[in-house]
Amino acid sequence: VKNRLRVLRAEHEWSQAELATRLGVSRQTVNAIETGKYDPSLPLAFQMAELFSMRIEDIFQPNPNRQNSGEPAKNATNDLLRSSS
Amino acid sequence: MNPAKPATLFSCGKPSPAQLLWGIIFGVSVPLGLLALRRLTLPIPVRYLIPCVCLIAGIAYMWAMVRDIRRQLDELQLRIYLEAAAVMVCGVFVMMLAYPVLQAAGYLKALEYTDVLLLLFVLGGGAYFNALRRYR
Repeated sequence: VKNRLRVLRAEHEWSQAELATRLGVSRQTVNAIETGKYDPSLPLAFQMAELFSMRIEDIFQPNPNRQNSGEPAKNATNDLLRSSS
Repeated sequence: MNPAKPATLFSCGKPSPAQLLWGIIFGVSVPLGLLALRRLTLPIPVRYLIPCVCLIAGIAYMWAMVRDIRRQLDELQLRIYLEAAAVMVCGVFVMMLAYPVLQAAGYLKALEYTDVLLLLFVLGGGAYFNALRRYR
């Protein structure tokens, strides 16, 4: 999952440490999320969305590099969305 | 985890008074118990009681430590700990299963508990620092 955390943080002029304090996590965790080394849990993602007053999908997007490995799951999700609409 | 002062990836949280207390009791009870069992002539019930005290203190220490880790560390720190613990447990499990073959081949002598402790430290420490490096 890629994210816009670094951009959003820069817009708010927050340091990694400041954002970490607001989220109640370590600075290293914020850094690992920003660099894409770690994907946050759903509660933490919701917390970030609330902090930036945005939707989760406006902060996090699926990583296009991993689309191949997740193709069956993606197709299944698309089928499900199509059938429900 | 306390949002006011998040722990760093290198820290394992601040030990609670309970963890400190049980750690001290455990740390003191083992050498003292060993000394008493080796030097003193004690009645059988007391001889059986001494290791129980050490074990109970050790389990309480472990319990307090796990509770502190769960309460104080954030999700990435917990993940790092979990990965290190998984490598440590699986590594020891594999070594124990392979031990008879290694011993029969002459690689290892009779197993001492200190060997297992060393293995735990090496595997756990290695896996912990490897995970730290990966998420940094």
